[in-house]
Amino acid sequence: MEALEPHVLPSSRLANEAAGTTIRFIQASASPPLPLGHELRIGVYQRSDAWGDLTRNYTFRSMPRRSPSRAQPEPARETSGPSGRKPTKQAWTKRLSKRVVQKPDGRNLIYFEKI
Amino acid sequence: LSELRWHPLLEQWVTVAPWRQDRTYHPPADHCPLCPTRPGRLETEIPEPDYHIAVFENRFPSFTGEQGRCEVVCYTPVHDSSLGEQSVEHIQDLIEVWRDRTEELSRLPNVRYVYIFENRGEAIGVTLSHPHGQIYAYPFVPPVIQQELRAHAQHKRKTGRCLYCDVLAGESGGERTVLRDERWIAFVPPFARWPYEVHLAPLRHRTGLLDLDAEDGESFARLLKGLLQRYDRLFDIPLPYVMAMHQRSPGRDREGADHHFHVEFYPPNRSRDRLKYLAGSELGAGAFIVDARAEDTAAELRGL
Repeated sequence: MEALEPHVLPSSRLANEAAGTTIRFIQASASPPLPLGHELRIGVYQRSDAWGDLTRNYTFRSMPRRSPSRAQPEPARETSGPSGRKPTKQAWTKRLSKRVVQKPDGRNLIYFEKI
Repeated sequence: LSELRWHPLLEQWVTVAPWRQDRTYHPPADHCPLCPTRPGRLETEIPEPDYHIAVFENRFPSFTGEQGRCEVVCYTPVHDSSLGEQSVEHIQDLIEVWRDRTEELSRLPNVRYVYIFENRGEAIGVTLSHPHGQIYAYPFVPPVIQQELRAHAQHKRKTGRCLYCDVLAGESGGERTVLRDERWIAFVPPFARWPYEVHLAPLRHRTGLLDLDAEDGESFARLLKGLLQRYDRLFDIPLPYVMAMHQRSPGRDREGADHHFHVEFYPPNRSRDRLKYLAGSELGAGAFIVDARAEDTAAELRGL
């Protein structure tokens, strides 16, 4: 069965067919067949238990307060992405106009129309 | 207002909104509330006889007032249509709408996260078949996002790099790639929890919709359309899916400000007429079992 390790065959279905059985293929090794990890960066697909002092989820005490949001978009970082090249960044050109109408029950309805 | 109840075992909020029980449920096509109002017919949510793209506050919101917002985004006035059937140009317009709503809703005082999503198909639980998506502006960071931000922060501290950038670096071989151009990639992640799950992401580090430039937008629209068309060709049916946009949180959450924008798609189908259900292991233990390999499903989608 070692020869039928899922990393050799594209699926457990094909593994079953190769073994001439419809019985579910059972892996010989105790360790799960991890994704084809040879091309993945070290550290990404390894579980770490060092959670440290990361912020936990919110409690009632830390529920949102009425402080204004600082929701300004950050300037895009021209990092060297996986494909390496840094394309020239072109600002977003506005394509639509916006018209806000209040419905009789007070809800907002917004029409976005071509400029 | 909804009642927010704290789940102490899972450390997450549960939103109780009983009035949603009465929301519109599978109306006939000629009573669709998301169609424009036709002359001589009952008024719909959109009183004008035509529109390009329209957004309105949900009549049965989970969050409203000072808690947040729930909005409905009507992609098109055409009832029998879908997001994937729209032109690339129209999808670019829609991206601009998503940008506008992200910016505006992020400014609401109590909003901690703006989440854009689409549920498509009855199998997902959609009650209105008109092509539309939704936006939830939450008064808290939802747990899945929180978990992603935590993993991202931990990886960044350890390596100095963005976790998702590293995930994308692992896709350079193309084995799990469905579509790719110079700026964006659609791929089945090696850790996919649904058979035909796909992530659509900018190759360069962009934190959200507001971080995209014009060319990013065009590439995003093209790949989004390409992916959705492949989905519909997969089993020759309008494939149900959940589309989930994961972007940075508004400014007040420092940990979430650097998140790598990406869109996740979860179709429930594992074949034309068989669905994957979330059952004992997934719901009760949170452990997904998926009976397909990402490399196989990516090859299948790529070949369509």
